[in-house]
Amino acid sequence: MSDDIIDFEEVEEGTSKDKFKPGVGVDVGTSNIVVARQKEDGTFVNRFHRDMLYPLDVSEEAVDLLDRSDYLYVKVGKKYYIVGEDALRLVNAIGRGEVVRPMQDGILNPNLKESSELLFYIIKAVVGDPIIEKEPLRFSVPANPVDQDLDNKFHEMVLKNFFTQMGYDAKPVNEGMSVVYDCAPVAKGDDGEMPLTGIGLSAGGGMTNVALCLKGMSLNTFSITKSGDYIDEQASKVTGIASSKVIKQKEKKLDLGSLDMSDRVLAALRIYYQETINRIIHHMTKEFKDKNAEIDGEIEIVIAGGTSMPKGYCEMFKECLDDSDFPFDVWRVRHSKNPFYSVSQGSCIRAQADYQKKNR
Amino acid sequence: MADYRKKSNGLQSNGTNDSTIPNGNIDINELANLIANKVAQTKGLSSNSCIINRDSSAENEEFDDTNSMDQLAQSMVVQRGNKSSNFDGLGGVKETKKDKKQTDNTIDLLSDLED
Repeated sequence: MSDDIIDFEEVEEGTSKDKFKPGVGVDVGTSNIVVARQKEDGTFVNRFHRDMLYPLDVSEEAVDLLDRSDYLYVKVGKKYYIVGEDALRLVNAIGRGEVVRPMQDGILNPNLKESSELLFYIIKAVVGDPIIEKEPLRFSVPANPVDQDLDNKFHEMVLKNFFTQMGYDAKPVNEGMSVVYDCAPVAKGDDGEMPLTGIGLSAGGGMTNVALCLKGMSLNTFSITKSGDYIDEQASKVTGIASSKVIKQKEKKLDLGSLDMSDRVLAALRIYYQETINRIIHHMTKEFKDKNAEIDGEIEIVIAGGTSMPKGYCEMFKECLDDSDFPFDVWRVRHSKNPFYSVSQGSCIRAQADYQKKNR
Repeated sequence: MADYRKKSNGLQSNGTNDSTIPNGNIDINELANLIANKVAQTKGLSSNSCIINRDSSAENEEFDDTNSMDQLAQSMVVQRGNKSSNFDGLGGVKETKKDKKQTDNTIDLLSDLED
């Protein structure tokens, strides 16, 4: 892989359409919406937005505040909804109230009546219109968890209907498989290398998605709950430090390879990271053994997702793997070069394959 | 990382974009919740849209509920009333460079597979 992050740039409206190849990938996650398109030269353009809202009643003060700021908002009847990162900025500035999150544990949260409707409005603005008639679109969906009784079928149907109404030829794609398509794991056997063979793992905020695949075909997909949000909450509970501060520490200082236990927040985070990784490997081992999954040779595991961002995550994963009775030989655990964008890019690659197939 | 944001005159929604709904004043979410609760009584659809605890009689039922589930899913995405905003494009933008040959190989391989 030769992924290199190059400088972001704004896409000029009106000129972007003729640059992009047909086929769009959408990662509708618990924390962020990420939309990927690919240019003719191979560059991926990822547009991202945080899934957060903060409601404000229409009043003179609210109008004044919005006039004086650059907060992005949607106005619905007698309410303003500040959207995305601005919702967080405003709630921190005001010091009261809470942001609303329209997604919960990887799926839509229809208990929040108006916010799910607003989420669609926001997704529409981030995704944009199809560049060709019935342009293929793949949206990522989590697999059903092995440790909780949930079925995401309805979530999938709602999103499919929404994107179809926008004019896309929309299909779901498993989140773990999207990581496989983006990172292209390779298995090594007696007969040489097998492309797109191994395990794709997406460590998100709400859950971890796992996909086992052979030459691009999905053999087994599942998810495991208790992921990034769980780690933050537990570390916050045992240290008594607010979750927002724990997150800040995690993003700025956490090194899972360091054994320094003098900072209790970092120590707690490290302990819960290790517990979470061991839980993932425990469920992977059980699932693959139960299903009698077999792949000849040594496989590669590719890892993406926001929860995998701390330094040393893959090394810790490999150490835990070596201490387990994992049923496959693993020649490498590799971190995605773009952990935050792997799911959207992999979904985009799948959508481009749909377009190619349709136009043969 | 710079935000991609623009002030504009406002993005207007299509209002009610489902031709089966006569006007934008119907509370579609209320309707969806009522249907969801009704379905939940017989099929185990929980209030957060997850099918849970299907008992064996429900699993053995041969009735195909795809159509009603699809209608319910459609009702969830209807936009009520008018919405306006101060953005037309939304979100930050990040470009990543990948090995084009490898991506093309993946696309070729996937386009030969069944879905």
